[in-house]
Formats: sequence, C-alpha cells, structure tokens
Amino acid sequence: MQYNKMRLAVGLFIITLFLVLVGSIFFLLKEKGVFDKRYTYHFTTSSAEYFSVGMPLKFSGFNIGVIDDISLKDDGSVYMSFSISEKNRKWLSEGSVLMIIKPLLGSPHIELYTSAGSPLLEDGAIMNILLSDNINDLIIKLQPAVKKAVNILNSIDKITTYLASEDSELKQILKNLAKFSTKLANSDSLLTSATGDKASTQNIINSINETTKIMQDIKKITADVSRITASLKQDIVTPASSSIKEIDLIMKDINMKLKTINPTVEAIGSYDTELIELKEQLSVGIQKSNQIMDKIDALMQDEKHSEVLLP
Amino acid sequence: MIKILLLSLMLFSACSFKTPANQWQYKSTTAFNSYTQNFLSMQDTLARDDLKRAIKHAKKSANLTQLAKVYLGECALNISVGADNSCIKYENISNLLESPELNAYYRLLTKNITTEQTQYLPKQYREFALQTLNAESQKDYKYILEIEKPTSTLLCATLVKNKLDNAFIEELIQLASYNGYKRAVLFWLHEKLKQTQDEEEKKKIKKRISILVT
Repeated sequence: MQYNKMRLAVGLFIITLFLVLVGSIFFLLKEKGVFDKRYTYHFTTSSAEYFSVGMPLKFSGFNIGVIDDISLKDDGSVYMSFSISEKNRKWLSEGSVLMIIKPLLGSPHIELYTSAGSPLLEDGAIMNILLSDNINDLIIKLQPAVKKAVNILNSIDKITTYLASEDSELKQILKNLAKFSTKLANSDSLLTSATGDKASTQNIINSINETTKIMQDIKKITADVSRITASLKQDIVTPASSSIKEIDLIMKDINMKLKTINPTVEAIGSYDTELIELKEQLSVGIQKSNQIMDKIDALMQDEKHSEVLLP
Repeated sequence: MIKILLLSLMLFSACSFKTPANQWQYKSTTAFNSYTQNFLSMQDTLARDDLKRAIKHAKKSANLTQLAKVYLGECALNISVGADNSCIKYENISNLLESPELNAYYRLLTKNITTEQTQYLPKQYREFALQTLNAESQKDYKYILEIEKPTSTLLCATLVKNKLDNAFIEELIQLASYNGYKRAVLFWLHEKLKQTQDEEEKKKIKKRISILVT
C-alpha cells in the first residue's frame, strides 16, 4: 500500500513537471513570435554576392526580418525571399525600397527605406533593391581615371624631353632672345634697336618732347580755367545761386499765400453783385435818413429862415 | 414812446403845413445852422455831414447865392476858431456872383474891407469894421462883447486877437463856454496861454485844456 502511494506521487510529479516544461516552452516561443503569422516578400538581384540566408533586414537600425531563401533562376538572376512578422509589416508599403549596405568594417545587411502614408505592401509582393558602392566599387570606378592620369604624365614626360633637346623650338627662341638682349646692350637706345633707324628714333623723341610741352601748356590752361571758374563761382555763381534759392523760397511762400487767399477772393467775387446791391440799399437808407433828419431839424428849429444867416 | 411822438409830430407837420417850393433853401439853411452848432461844439462827424447836406441842397439851384453863403459861413466859422483863414471855395465862385453884401463880408474876413463896403455888412459888423479901419480911434473892443450874436462876437475877436488882453480873452472863453462852443473855448484858451507870462497861470490854463481834450 505504501509503495502504491509512492508510485502515484512520483507519477503526478512527473506529469506536472512535463506540463510546466511544455507550458514554459510554449510561452517562450509565443513571446519570440514563432506562432505569429509571417509575411513573405521577394526581390531579384544580379548576384548573390554579399547575400546569405539569415541576413538581417533593418529599419532605422532595428532588425525587422531575415532572408529566408536564396535561389538561382534560369536566366542567371538571383531570386531572394525574406519574411517579416505581422508586428513589423506596417513598415513595408508601396514604394518601399531595399538597399544592400556593405560597410568597410562589419557584415553587410539590407536596409529598408519606406514612404509614410502609402498603403501596405501585399504579402508575396516583389520589391526593388538598390546596390550601394563600397570601397572596392570605388576602386573599380577610379581605375579609368588613374589610367588617364598615367597617360598625361607620360605625355608631359615626352614634351619635356622634346623641349630639352637641342633642336627644339624653345631652345631656338631662347637663342634669339639672347641675341636680342646682346644687341640691346650694344645699341645707343632701345628705340634705335626697335626701329633700326636713328633718324626715326630722333623724330619720335622730338615728338615726345613736343607732346610734353603741349601737355604742360594744357595743364597751365586747365589751372587758369579752374581759377577763373572758382572766382566765377565765388563772385557770381554762389551769390546768384543763393539769390535764386531765396527767390524760390519767396515764390513758394507767395504761392502758398495766394492759394490761401484764393478761396477768399473767389468768395468775395461771388459776393460782388450782392455788395453792390447792399451798397445801393445803404445809400438809399442814408439818403432817407438824411431826409428825416432834415425834417427833424426843421421841426426843432426855433425860427425858420430860408436864407443862411452868416456867423 | 419818443419815436411814436416824433412820428406823430412829423405826420402832423406834413398834413398841417404847406410845403414851400424853395424847400431846398430851407433844408440847406437848416443843415448849415446844424453845422454851425456841431462845428463849434466839436462834433466833427455830424458837422461834416451837415455841411455836405447844406452844400448838396444849395447846389439844387442855379442861384449860387445860397451856396456862396454856405461857403462864406464855413470860412467865417473856421476863422473864428483860428483854424483856417482862406476862403478858397468862395473865391472860386465869387466871379459868378453880383452880391456886394457877400463881397463886403468876404473882405471883412480877409481884413481887406473899404469904408464904402461897410454899409453892405450885417449890422453887427459895421461898427467893428469902421473901428478897425480908423487907425486913430481908441482901440477898445468892449463893444464886441455886446454883439448879440455870439458867433459874430467870436469872429470879430479873432480878427483882432493880437490886440486883446487876457481879461478880454477870458470874457470870450466864458461866452463860448456858456454856448457850449468847445472848439472856440480851446482856441481862446491856447491864445490866453500864449499871452500869459505867469507860470502858475500857465499851468492852470494847460490843466483846463487837458481836461477838455481828454
């Protein structure tokens, strides 16, 4: 009886242990995304160099997927497939581009460049991939330029060799220059060397001397003219200018005053006929008042005389 | 009330009396009489207007005697207050007149009268004219103060002003003052000032003038 109870307990322990182990593994795998749905995409390149199965696909420096399969097609191109979890699928949209990054140090990887706002890329779609240049590519591209530089250097070498030879044109020119300088050293003047005729040289010298005299005369005339204009400016132009400015100011002042007076004059002009009528009426009024005054004076007189009594 | 009364009087006079044909002459005379009063009492604006009216009415007639009397009257009044002793206006029309009376009066004003002409002068001037013509007579001008018409007294006195003493001048000042002839009063005060030697008296005269002028 004791033995049976022990077997039961051991059996229960093993079963429990097995269940916990299975559960832990399931939980771990689930957390790793093993059971998540994965989306597969494809791209084609001309060479599988630098690519390998399990090569990471990165987005902004984070691993979001890996290359699952690489296969050589019948036309010689390489067909590659990579998968992405459902969580990271949002980064792949229409217009997204892959680029193989081959750093000088470190392992190559694929970088994803996506465009925000575009619809999501469907499962199984074929994407474009760009190949970036690495140091080797640059060296390959530089090779033609290096070849050209080498050719140029060779040509320069040939030219210098030619120039250095005794029968080269440069050597001839230098010899001519040496002759000319020797001639200059032996001749009386540079002009005689240039013209080859002493009479012509003298004529040129005379002309230059004459020109110098003329220039001196012109300089003197210019000074006189300058002095005259300065005196004119002091005696006539400056006072005249100040007078004109004053007249200008006065005229402006008069103009402003006339503008101010103009409305009044116009108003008076409009009242002209009215003033005449008013004057006539006043005249009539004064005459009538004088008549009344005459009558009042006549009434107030103590004695009535038709003739003036002299004082 | 006064206006209504005055208007009533005018209407009454207009209805009651017959208007004379020579109304211009009456009007001219009335205006000249008013001029005399206003001129001597130094109401210059009224005086000027009165003289204008007197001349205007006198010029309504071709008979220039009335106009000549106005001109001579104006001249006499100016002489009586020492303002002006020329009678240019009268002189301009004198050749158009045949009036020995006016000519004699003009001669009196200009101190150029003859014995024959004295008979044509107004009564009050005849004795004065004869006295002034007689160089040997007593130069006592007391009779001038007895002339009934004050303007005539003032005129006669002015014509012999250099021969009058201060007492006589004071009598003239009193006469002019009594009649309200301010212009004549000032004239004779100035004449008295000229003749007075006493400084105290001079001060008094000056003060009297100052009071009247201000």
